[in-house]
Amino acid sequence: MKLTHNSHQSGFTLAEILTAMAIAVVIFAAIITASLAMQKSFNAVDHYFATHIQQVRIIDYLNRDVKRALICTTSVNQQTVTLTIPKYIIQSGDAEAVSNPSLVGAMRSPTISTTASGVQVNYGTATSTVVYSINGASILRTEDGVVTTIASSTDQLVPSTIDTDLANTEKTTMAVTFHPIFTSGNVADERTGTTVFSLAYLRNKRRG
Amino acid sequence: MKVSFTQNERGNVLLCAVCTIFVVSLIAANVLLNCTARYNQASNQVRSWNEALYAAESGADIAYNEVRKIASNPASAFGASNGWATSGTTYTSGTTTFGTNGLRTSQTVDLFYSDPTSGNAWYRIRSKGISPLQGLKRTGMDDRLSNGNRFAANGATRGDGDTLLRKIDFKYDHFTATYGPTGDGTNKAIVAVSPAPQLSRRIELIAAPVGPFDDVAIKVTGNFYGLGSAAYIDIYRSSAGPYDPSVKTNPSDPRYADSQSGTLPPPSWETSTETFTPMAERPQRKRSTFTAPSTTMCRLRWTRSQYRPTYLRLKPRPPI
Repeated sequence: MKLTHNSHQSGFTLAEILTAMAIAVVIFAAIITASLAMQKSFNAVDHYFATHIQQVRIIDYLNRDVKRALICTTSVNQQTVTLTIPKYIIQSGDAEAVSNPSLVGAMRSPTISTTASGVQVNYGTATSTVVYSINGASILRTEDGVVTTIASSTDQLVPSTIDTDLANTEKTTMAVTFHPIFTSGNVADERTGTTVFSLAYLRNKRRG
Repeated sequence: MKVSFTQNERGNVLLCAVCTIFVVSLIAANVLLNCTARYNQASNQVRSWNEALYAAESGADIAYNEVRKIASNPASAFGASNGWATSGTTYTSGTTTFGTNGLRTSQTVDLFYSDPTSGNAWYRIRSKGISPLQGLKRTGMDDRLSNGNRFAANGATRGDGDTLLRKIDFKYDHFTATYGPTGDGTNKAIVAVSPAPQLSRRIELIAAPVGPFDDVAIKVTGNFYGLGSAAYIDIYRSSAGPYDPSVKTNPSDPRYADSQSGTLPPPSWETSTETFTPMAERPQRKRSTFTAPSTTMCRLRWTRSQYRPTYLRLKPRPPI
């Protein structure tokens, strides 16, 4: 049998193979490193925006409740907010609902009363108590004992609220920050950079 | 034996390249999908939710403007030519569309209270603002779908996360299904929203009558002999224009005569213990003697037939 030699079928020398392997290793290392970095960056950005959405949600929740509240009280450490809100909608157990259950869910009509401090518009006599608080990594909203988790994040969301009494009303300033998971330097500065701020006034005359 | 390479063996390289591109594309698609969902929620849904409140506030201003006409030009208040329908003491507007995003608003105004002393009417303004949902017709990534009731139109618990706060009407009007079209709990129905998903928010505010003399008071201790010749009562015809404190000391003002004597009927003087009527034409010359049992606040009060109140918007009810 005669073997024909074809230059296209010739193999590689050891030096060629080693060189090719070295180059391949470098290339694969770069690809893997870049992939991991991209994955880490993606996770960080995803967490950032997900937490930002929760920031906005906290602000919107507080804004809505503060605007319709009669009283707003913030704890000394600015971490707990207690609001007294009229019961604008007839709820189960209210006096009207006891006498006429079909009224549950109906909007309550306002009444007018004259007090020493002027005319008051009232929506029933009972009020709801809404408390915003922090429990671990979660921000809770409790309305008449019913707890709703409005935000939960491992990024250390921290709402801070200050209420200020005015002559006939009250304003509340809110700031929500979180600690992004990609940190490269000063943690305090990075948290400050995530601040979302809002200010809301009680639209009702302050009662307390 | 002759060894030769076939053309088919070159396909390995192509296959590897295609697989690599496929994997990278999957990663890129995942990134884009998440970014799009986040952007859609953080930008479009939050924006529409806030715009719905702006629309409701604008609608409240429209209705409040009509209430003010009751004082300034009653004949034109809640006119049918402006799209208002009247039923007894309830006024319902048509739908106003404005803005580049197609915001809509409609209002209902009703007389819910009459002051038993003055007869002045208090009006309640209910305004509804609607903002079409911009962007994708999609819930946010934080709104889990683990419970079949979460997105039921009339479910007790509707959604998690943002959906619990911003109740988006993707397909049906949640408010009509939960509270009824007027919010009184009647006529609840599943009504499809048209033409697109929307967010609606409602506010309520009270238009309270405010007279220019409501805060006028005279503090009386012991005997009271009237205001004396050097004093005057700042009588004022509110139907002639806004209150101007300089009128009473400005003889060139056409309303000066009203402030000095005027053609207005006499006010009634109310105290906690008794009521009497001073002289009509020139109240500053009144010499009626009133013996107050103790320190008493005397308030001047005109009845509705004698002055028209202006209206002050107050006590807005926040969105639900």
